[in-house]
Amino acid sequence: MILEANRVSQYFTQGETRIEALKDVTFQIKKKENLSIVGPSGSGKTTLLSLLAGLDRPSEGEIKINGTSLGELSEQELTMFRGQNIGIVFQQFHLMPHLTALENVSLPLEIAGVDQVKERAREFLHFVGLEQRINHFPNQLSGGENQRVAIARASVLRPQLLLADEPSGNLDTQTGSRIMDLLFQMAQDSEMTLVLVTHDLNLAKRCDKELHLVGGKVQ
Amino acid sequence: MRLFILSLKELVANRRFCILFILNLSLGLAGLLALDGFKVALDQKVKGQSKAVLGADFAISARRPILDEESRLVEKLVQQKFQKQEMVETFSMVANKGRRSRLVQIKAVERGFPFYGQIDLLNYGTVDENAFDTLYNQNGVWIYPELQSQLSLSVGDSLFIGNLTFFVTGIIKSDAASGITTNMAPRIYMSRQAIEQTGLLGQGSIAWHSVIYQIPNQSSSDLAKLREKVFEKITSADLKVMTHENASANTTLLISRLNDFLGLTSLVGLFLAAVGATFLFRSYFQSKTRQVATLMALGASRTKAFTYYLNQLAMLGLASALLASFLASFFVPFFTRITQDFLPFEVSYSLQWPTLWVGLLLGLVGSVLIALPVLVGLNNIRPAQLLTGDRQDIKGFQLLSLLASLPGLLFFWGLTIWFSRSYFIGSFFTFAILVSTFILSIVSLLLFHSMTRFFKSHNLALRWALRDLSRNRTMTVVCFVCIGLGSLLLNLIPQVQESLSTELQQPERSKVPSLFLFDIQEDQVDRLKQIAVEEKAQIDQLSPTIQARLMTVNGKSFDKGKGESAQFSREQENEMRFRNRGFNLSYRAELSDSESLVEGREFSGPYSGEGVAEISLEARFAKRLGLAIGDTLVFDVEGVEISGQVVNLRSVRWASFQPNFFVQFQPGVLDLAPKTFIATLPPLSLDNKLSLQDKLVEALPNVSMIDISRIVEQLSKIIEQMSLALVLMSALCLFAGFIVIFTIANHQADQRKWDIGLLKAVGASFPQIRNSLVWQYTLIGSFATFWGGLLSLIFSYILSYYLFDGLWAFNWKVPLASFAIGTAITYIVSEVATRRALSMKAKDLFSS
Repeated sequence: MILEANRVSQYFTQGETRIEALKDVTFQIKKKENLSIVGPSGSGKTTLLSLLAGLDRPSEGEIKINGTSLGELSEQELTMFRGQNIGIVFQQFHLMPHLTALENVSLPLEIAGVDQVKERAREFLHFVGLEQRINHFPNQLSGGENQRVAIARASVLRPQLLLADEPSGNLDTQTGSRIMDLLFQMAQDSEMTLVLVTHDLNLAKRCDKELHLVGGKVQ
Repeated sequence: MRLFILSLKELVANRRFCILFILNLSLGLAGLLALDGFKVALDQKVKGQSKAVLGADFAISARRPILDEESRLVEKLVQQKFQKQEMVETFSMVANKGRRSRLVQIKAVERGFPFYGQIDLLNYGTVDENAFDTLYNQNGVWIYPELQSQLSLSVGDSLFIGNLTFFVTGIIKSDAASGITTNMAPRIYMSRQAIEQTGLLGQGSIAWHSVIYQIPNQSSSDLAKLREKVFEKITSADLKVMTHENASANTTLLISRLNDFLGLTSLVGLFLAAVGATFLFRSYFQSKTRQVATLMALGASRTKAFTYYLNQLAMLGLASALLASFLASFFVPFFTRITQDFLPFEVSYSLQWPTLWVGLLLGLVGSVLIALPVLVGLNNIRPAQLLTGDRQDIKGFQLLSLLASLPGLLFFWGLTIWFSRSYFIGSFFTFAILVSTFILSIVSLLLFHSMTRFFKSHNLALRWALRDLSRNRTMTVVCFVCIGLGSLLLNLIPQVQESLSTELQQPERSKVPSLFLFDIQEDQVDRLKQIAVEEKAQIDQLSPTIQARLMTVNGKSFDKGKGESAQFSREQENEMRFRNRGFNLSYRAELSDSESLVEGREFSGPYSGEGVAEISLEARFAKRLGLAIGDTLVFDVEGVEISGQVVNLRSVRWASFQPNFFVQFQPGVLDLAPKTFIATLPPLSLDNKLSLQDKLVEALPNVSMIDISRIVEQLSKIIEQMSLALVLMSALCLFAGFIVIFTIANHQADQRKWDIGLLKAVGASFPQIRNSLVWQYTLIGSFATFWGGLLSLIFSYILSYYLFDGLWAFNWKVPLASFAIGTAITYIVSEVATRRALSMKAKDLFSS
């Protein structure tokens, strides 16, 4: 199993009220499988994604990625683990505005301390069709192009797990569709497991598995 | 009103920006307001005490006895009842029973002095008619306590002054008319009639004769008008006419000059704060462009949007001014402490309304002017872009922004002129600040750009830091300029002080004499030489001094100016002071060691009696009076007209303490004129010097001697204290620079919290991110303090070249310390400022 979630729950307290964002979520995905997480707003999709990415720790339960329990890792170990094993694509792209496309894609490689940073970043930008735009800054690129850079950045270390939060949510239908094709293609070619959060039920159906969340619980 | 409330609400919603903006601007204003508060208090004190300082309402004085016709003219113009007294002030040596001697300032007064204020004696109480009996009937003198301790005197002891023996009949406890000069030579009072018999007022002796008037019920403006009238009617240029307010302003001349320079230094703080505030407002406004576009789309005009932000700026400016006034009250005790030695009285301080008004005005106008170049960006905002999703960009170079920054620059220029009270110094200062800003900006851009390009570090945090510095140019330049300018200023003052101290204390180069002798009568020269030989010393530079009045320049009457009350600038004031004085002429065949020819030719030799006599002028003196080579000057020397033509201009190193003169004739012209001599004695051991001094006082009691080492010591002390005041003000500026760094680092980190979150999301460790941010500011801090220090060396060298004839001394400790401390402080500031933003959680990226 590349990803296992066992009875994962997440609670928040607001004053004296306890809010259950997730309750006993359990699922498993094998390597190269794709999973879509769907559900209405406030159903806990984003909370679950944060936990899967190791950006937050669950109140209860356990998450394992490729056999490693995230709960057993220290903050520093978790950061390193995330850098090498998990790629994240955000709805808002979140590119560094003062870095060029090439430099944005180079970031994870630089952090990981690998060789041939520029060459590898260029290769991925070529793959997402932006070889002509490598020296452009985010404000010089369109929304779709920005998301392509974000996908290249998330994939450049060939992580085992690629998490995507509404990657086409900020794009028009046509561009969004192309981006999704690219994302599936990238996941397939790089043998990554894709976990996709989306509202779009048609898009969700393109994945091997679907997880429906309602009120923090799997339906 | 609704617009105002909306503006206020938005400010409340952006509390962080408001706090940083107010903190920034208020610190820049605080130094300025503290200084202004001090000036107001000083001015009030001087005005309140001015009658006591002069001891009268009105006075005329000259370095010669006042002519009857001159005093009659004043009395005719007064047109009401008045009282008058005559007074003589001079310097002289005095000796005790044991023949130990000291230089003193003598004030010879008539009964009833002063008309205003009082003199208190330790052994008597407040001086009254009976106290004057001791001066007039018992050959008494009242002495300052400093002289009492220097010569171990007590009441009843004898004191030798000139040809007479006096007796100490009073020790002065307090004297409303004490002045700063009493620091150099303690004062003694004697009767007006006694001084005539001392022999101290011989031909050509240096003494100030005054007639002082009590004119009851005259306001300051009445007296000022009287002064103007007297000035107009009087023909002699060497007669000083003053009201009590002019006289007391003279006693605070030194502090007034110090205030000018402190004012300029504090303006740098304001400049840095303005740069920081502009940056903050720019970022703030940039984040609001969509909102402005929305407002416009809803029907708000551009003018309304402009007014909306002007309201905010006015509120921020007022809040800054209030905080600055509060902070200023903490800086003031330092002014009081540092200036107490320069003033004849204590100034107690409290922040008063005039200063608060200045603060409010500066806060209000300043904040609007600061933001103007940013606000004109409103022109670029198009509501239609909201639909297309294009960025509402206000970035980029625009002519309009450049033009909009001109009012701010002009305002700053005006402030520098106002504070320095000098068109030249103010303009030069503004120019220097702008040039330094330009140089530091270029250096920062080139430095970090080339470092990013050519310096490949294995340290990822350092690499990111350099890349960020070269990409975020505005932030980099603003921070670099703020720290660089602060460091420049902080370094410059000790560097100049070092040069000045070296100039004053470098005997091998300057050959500073041990004693400076003046008022030597012609018939005393041989005796003086004889005593010097007996004491194995050699008289250096025995120079004749002839008192004269300048009558005409190129056939036209010498213009004595328009009266000091009409002067605004220091240049005008200096020129006036030069015009309104008597001249000491001398003659010398060759230039001395401390002189060098600037323009023209040397004297052709001794005057043959045929043709026009030759004159040499000191270059700055000539410039101030508008005199040039070829001008014909006619002097009145004891009623005889002596004319000559200027053949050269020379520079003089006054700090050499050698006898030097503004006007020198060639030998053979003035040789027969009544004269006194001034002379110097070479460096001597302390015992030798004291022995020689005491012998001279005994043999030639009217000759006055200045101990140069004491003068150097006093001057060094004054320079040290003035430097300290300026250094402290510079430190405040540098502190303002660090606050700019703090606010920018804080604001930038806050704005880039998403980047920080993202770096965390892609696997960057906390230390990597933190180090990258800290590296950025530490690099700025270290390089900016280094370059600021380097520029200060260049500027101090240029100043030394022009002010001290190139004698430049390098003080390496201050640049080194400022570099180390500046870097360390920037490191700490950036650590603290970025801490909050570093806590940004990567998971928040999902919900944004």
